[in-house]
Amino acid sequence: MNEHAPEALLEQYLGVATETEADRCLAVLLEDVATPLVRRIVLSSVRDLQESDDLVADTLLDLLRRLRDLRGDVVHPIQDLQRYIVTCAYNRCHERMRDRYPALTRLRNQLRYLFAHDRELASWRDGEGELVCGLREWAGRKVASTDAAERVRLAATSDPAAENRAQVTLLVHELLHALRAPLPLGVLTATIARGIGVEHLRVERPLTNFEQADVPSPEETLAHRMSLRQLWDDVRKLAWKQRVALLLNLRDVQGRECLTLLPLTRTATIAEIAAVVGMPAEKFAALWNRLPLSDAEIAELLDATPRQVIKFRRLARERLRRLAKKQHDQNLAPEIDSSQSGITLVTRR
Amino acid sequence: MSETTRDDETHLDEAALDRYRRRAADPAELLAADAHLATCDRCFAAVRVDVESLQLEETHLRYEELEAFVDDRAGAIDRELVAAHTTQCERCRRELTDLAAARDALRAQKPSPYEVRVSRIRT
Repeated sequence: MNEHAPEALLEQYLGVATETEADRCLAVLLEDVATPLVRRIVLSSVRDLQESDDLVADTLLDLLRRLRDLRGDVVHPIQDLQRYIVTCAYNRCHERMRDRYPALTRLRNQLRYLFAHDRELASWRDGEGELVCGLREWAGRKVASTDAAERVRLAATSDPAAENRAQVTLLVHELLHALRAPLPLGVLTATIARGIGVEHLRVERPLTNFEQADVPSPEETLAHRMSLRQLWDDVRKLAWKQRVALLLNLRDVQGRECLTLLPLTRTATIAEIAAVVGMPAEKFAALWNRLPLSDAEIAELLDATPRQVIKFRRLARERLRRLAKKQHDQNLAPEIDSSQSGITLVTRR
Repeated sequence: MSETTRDDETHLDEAALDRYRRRAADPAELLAADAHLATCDRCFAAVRVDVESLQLEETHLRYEELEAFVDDRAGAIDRELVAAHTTQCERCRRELTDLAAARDALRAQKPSPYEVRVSRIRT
């Protein structure tokens, strides 16, 4: 295998003994393999230069975190590194588009649904994994160019709310019959969006850096934050598999490992955490220095698949958020103090 | 665990505290140090962090999960996940509602709109 091939670089990174060597390998992986791929994908989806730079940086940061997690894994889940990077980049782009262009995202979803269910239409993946849409009998046919799609004049009426689903369906059929070739979903969505006037509908938020883009409103933040004490109390209410999946890979909204905060804040001792994940303290202590564990490692402990581990963890987070929100709402809810002669509103803080 | 004895009390020395902080202690030392830190204010002051609350990592629903849900193809865990998430996430809730409306519109649609348009042009 060529020593500069992506898979060889990955093997080298996973195999080196010291963290200094690992960091050097990781830098090469990110600069030589990931950056060009991520930049190409991001620029194909996001035209705004500032936004695309933010997105490239964010995707690389996400990859860095994921690749760091792989160190120490005996079996790592990446079979094809380039495809893995492409998938990460696509997912990040899609998340950003969902945030910034909700109308466009809903239109895209509607189109995906249409192509999956209309008896005349179909969608399939091309060689690079991109979703392509066309008439059912066109599967495998060469896609039309973006320029060709832009030249088609669609007889649409402006419908910024994109509520007129019948019109969207009609425009899709007109477009395809005019082109006589399939289109990538992204190009199809952009073309229909121009036709009905949702192309430029963007949620305006300050975007000086990526973190700001993900910051919810102050009220949402309050509702989503939970105290470590509350987190610890609520975690013990979860089902065992959810507790293990969550705690052994506990991360905050920025992706930082945070189980180790519990003893450092005297919220719980390591022995107490071991008891909650149902493990002898000595066995758990042997894992402590390697936290967070990968999904593959947690799957082995739970006798489950990595995919199931991800679902257990997501369910756990949803339940914790629900409990935190309930607590938050209760704290803010005015209560009637009937001991007073009149009715007094008391807001608990 | 390395210890120093002062004022008739046993405490963790700097090297032991450093190994604890950097997560470099072996399992036996780690558990002993952790038990000590839980009760010794003096040693705990050297490692404590001032974090009171946090916001957990958040994952939104993927299109495939929304589609399986509106088509009634999702398994029990996935249904629970979608239901739990959409009660708290307005963005995913809107996308789910919108996709369900797209499903309803498509089910109500016969014959295909292109055929309707073509038939109109012909007449």
